[in-house]
Amino acid sequence: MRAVSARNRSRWQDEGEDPDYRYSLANERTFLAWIRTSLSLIAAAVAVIQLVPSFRIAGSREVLGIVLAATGFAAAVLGYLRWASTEKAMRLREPIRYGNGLLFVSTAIAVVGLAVLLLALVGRP
Amino acid sequence: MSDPGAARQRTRLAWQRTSISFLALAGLLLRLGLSHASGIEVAAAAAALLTGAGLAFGARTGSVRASVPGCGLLLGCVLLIGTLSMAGALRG
Repeated sequence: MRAVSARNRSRWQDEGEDPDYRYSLANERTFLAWIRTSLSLIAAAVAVIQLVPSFRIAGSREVLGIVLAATGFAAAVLGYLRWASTEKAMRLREPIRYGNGLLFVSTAIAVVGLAVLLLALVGRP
Repeated sequence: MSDPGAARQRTRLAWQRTSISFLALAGLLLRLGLSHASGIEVAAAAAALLTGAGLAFGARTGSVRASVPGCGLLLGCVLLIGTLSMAGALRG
């Protein structure tokens, strides 16, 4: 693959040293995994709103869809911030910081799953 | 050029998987948009299709690579597609 051109380099990319390309590529693959997770959550949000039959509680589908979409947006943003933070840490040989992005996304998905279970138990109109 | 652990190949495949994800989302949005006569969802589908096609081409030629503008653009595409999708879905 081609190296990043000078025009596309951010300021922190000019600091420190180029990391081992394998670590950089691993970071890139992780970012893409976050993007795919985000797309899956957005697809689930649209599907819940438009494909799932209505629940007994009015508006519950829309709320679930909004929560899923918001989690998807957050996953995409967190993935980008994590990629940039890790790339910078590798260049400057600093410790890689781990945020709470995984905990947030996992918790949101668990909450949505629990909500769907409860709504299914409550029954349909 | 040697590639211990096939890191470059695995990364190229990751870009291809991401491209397929965009294309799959485009298919879903197009189906829903046409069935609900939602122009917004069709627009979102078009955006997802363009993004997926671009990534597929870049992955195939090996020209796609993570950079601040590139990753930022990809993030922007996801947010735009997501916003259009939700706007279309919530409008009914």
